[in-house]
Amino acid sequence: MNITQSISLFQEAQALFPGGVNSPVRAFRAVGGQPLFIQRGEGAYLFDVDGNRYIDYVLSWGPLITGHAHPNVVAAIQQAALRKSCNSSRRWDRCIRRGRFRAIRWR
Amino acid sequence: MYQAGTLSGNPLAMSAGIAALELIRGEEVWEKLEQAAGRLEAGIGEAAKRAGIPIQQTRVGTMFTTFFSETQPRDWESVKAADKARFGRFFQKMLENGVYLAPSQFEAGFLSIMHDEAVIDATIAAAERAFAEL
Repeated sequence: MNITQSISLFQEAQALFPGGVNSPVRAFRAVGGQPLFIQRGEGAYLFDVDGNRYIDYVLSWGPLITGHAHPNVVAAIQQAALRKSCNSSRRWDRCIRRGRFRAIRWR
Repeated sequence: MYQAGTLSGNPLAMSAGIAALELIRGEEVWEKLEQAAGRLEAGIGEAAKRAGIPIQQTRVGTMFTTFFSETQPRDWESVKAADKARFGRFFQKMLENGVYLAPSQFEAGFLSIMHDEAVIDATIAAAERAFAEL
């Protein structure tokens, strides 16, 4: 497995951030080895900066239950970014709609 | 309880949340997730058995952990007894075989609706190879 880009990025990151990471578990201290730099996610997969593909079971520690970059989720974010300001009073619609989901009993 | 946050109700997060919840709405989605998680749990268990590696598995729905331990983890004492060095080696072997687990014995793994049978079976095959090299 070629991870040369991850190795050089981690060297650079260690000069910029404490431990070379912005969250401790990302430094791989608990498992040893070279922390990987992930470039993108798609469905069940992650791709690192060297182009290696991995099946992901971290999934942002759970919330990515629809997988990485699901087209429906991406489209919803794009539309919201285009037409909503963070101060829009219309956001209450969204809170209430999401709140309704919470009220449903999930298995 | 006082609860507040600068980004509470943020429109981008709310929109993403609604889209995600729409996608996982319905019994059949959860049945498929449960099947996928059960298939993974059984496959990893069998692979470890064949390799003669003692593991303990914990799982609630799509959330799971494989402990390298002789005893079932029930509390802090029994969880602490897990072989962290062996987990580290397993983690590295899984990475080499194209599977990214949480980089700690004390974190959990999760599944998504994109983890279909082919993905699960590829993971089990990776675990088979990883256990053989431990």
